[in-house]
Amino acid sequence: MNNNNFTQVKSGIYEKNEITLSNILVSLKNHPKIKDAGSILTFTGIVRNTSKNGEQIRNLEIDAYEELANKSIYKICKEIKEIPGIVDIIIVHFKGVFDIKDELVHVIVASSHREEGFKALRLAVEKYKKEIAVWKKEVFSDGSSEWAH
Amino acid sequence: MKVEILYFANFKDITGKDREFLELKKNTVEELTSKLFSKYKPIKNLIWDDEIKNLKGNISIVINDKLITDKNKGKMAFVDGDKVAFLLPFAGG
Repeated sequence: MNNNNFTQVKSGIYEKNEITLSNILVSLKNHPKIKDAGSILTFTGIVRNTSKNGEQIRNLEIDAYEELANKSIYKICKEIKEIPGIVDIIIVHFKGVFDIKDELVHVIVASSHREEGFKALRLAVEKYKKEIAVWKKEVFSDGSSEWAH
Repeated sequence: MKVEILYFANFKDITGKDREFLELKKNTVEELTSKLFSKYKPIKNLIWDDEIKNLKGNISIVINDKLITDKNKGKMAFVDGDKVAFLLPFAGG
């Protein structure tokens, strides 16, 4: 891979569309130990058109306490990287106002083998859902809105 | 003594701002919440449990970007310049 113009993507909170999945993959493939990896697994959370209760959603707003959320993201990544066979992980969560189908979060795991990669990816997704200081406001089709908890 | 209070999500909608400084005399969470509730009534419903006369169990306090896990979080004291936030349970995307 050509390392010119390479920008390392750090895990954390970013503005909507500030980084693409492709940017993250390039960053991950420039990891010094990427040759130890046999798989890269990605999870992308996008905006669904219904709430948990089945109400129609027009759009979504994400607010974040960046300093705190970044600390938690760093902690999750550190824990995941300690799992044997995990080469690297990057978690990028966006904030801002989103339409249906927009990307909200990317979790990307590079691992020696797929088995530990799948487990680590799932663990990282479950953790970011509960542990990072991020909130989402669902705006419904009638214009009303509610912060989901 | 002044503390800086940060507002996120519901708090931002209620107050219309993302932060402000509040003057305190006793430096306690009780004093801060009392000031907040008189200024922004809906915040009381959001974070206060009248039965136990304390913050609701699912409300976190953060001081200077550090989550306070103390069980007696409602009895914490501040020092001048502290940056404080009350947080509702997180909900990632």
